[in-house]
Amino acid sequence: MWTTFVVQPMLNLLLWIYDLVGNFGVAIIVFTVLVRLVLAPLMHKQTQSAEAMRKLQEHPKWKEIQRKYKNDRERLAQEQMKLYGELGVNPFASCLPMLVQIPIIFGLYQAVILALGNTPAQLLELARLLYPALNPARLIPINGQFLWMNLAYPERLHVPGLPFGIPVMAILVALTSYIQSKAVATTTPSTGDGQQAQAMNQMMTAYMPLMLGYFALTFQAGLALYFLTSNLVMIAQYAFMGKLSWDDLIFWRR
Amino acid sequence: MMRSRRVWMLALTALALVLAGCSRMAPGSWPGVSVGDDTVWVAYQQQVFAVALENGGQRWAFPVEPDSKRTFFAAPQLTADRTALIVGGYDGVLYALDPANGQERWSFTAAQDRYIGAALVTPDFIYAPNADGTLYALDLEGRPVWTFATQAALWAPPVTDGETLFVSSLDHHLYALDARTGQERWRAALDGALPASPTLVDGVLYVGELANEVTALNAADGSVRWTAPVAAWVWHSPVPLGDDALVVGDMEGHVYALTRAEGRVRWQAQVDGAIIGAPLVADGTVFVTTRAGMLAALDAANGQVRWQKPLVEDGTIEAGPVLTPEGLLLVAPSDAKAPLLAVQPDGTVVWTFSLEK
Repeated sequence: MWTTFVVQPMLNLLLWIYDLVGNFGVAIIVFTVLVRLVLAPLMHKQTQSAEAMRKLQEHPKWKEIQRKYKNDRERLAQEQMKLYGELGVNPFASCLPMLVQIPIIFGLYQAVILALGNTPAQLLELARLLYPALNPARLIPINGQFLWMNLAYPERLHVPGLPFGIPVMAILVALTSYIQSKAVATTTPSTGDGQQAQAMNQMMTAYMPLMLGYFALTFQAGLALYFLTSNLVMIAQYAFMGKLSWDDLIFWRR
Repeated sequence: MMRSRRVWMLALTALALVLAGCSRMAPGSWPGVSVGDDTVWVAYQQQVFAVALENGGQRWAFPVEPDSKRTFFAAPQLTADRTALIVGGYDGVLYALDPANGQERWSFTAAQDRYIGAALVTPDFIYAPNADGTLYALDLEGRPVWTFATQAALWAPPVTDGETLFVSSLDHHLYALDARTGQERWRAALDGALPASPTLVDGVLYVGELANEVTALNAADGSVRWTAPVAAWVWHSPVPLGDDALVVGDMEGHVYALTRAEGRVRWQAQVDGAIIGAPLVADGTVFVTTRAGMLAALDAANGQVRWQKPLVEDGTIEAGPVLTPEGLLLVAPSDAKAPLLAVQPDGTVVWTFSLEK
């Protein structure tokens, strides 16, 4: 079911775009922009939900229950849930856009590996999943070359004189993930316990870029390209919504 | 918001573990098999094995212990003087092994990608096709002599008439090269990728394509004589059948006998499962293996299916059957535990080479 309803449509859409644009890297970029556009309403809901959460934390009732039950975690949680209900705030709404991305990432990962089919077993699997309308004979094999990268392999830029390759994409993915985490300040309100929340936020700001940078370092460059494009599009989306705060990024000005 | 971030962190961590697992799951290909006088060599996953033809006993393995950094699927090839067994790995290294004991004699490391197909070994040269798109021509001591680059991966050994090499590439071209110098003589553009070697018979090249067709070309200049449409991709080299026909199988399990002169269908049959490896013609019978794990025997005269037997449970067979000097069929399932079976022409399994200890 996963293959039929997620991987196969994703794979064929990717290859259809590749057939149109003639370059697999460009196809991944176009595909990512399409995915981001489809997720834009969810993202809008996420920012609305985060804004509602932020306002909630300034509500007098919220502050009161924080003060009243600060030593009783269980009661605090119950009262918080009651208040969410009373004020019509869904604390889980901001999870959904993030979670929706997980199957997309996984499906795209499989689609990229299948499309670039660089072993006989992978090409056999690709043949099984292609829609006949795509004219597979003409498309296969997919040319995975994009700029200096072969999208079927982990990316490294080899510079004459250096004994090792530079993982440019991993660096760019980690950097843009960091920028996205730090610069989107207004959608990340601090939660009840100030110091703990701040520590959590700092850990997240470090953890996510490192994790995504690790993906980009280890897996196919096609996936790294998806992450980079996705990050850039998200930053642009937040800027368009007026939610971008560069001040948080330029920390040395403080 | 903190909760959602925790969820995101956990989800990302889980994804990293799953992706890491997935990237190492499936083997890249199926066993590569070649036969000597009393030994059969099998390349599959992390080792190359020498197996006694008499009883399926293992003689040696290279490397001695499985090495996760090296995988082998290309059929090993014995040099004419029988001093070296040439086998390429997915690590991009071409190895020459001592056929008696599997010790490494030399290696060639200049290729940029995997060796997926076997090398062609002649009295003077080793021609090693690589997935980086380059054909490497070496002398018998592994020293490079010349290279020829194509636009996509080479998955199959070239064939030669002694003077000209014919090279199939995934870039949809068939190339003719001077066998000594690598100079290109001609190239022919075809409709589909070519994952297998062409078959050369009486000055005509026959090639199966990943484009639902089989094409015949003149070996002298690459001009197309005919193109025969079939129902699905043809993954293997066409096999000569009698004096005037060829047999091919496609990925929908159709088996065709085509006339060599015009590519007309003489007969057509259907077996259970996709056909990837080349059929074998022996004693008036066409033997095919399929991805449904079957071995089928067809009458070579009219294509009637005499029998089909499952040789593996829940497994696949992509490699085509290979004939031993004694008339046994060697079948190589894509099975990490038992990658080689010896089978009599009636389908009875004589021995199994098993890796389970």
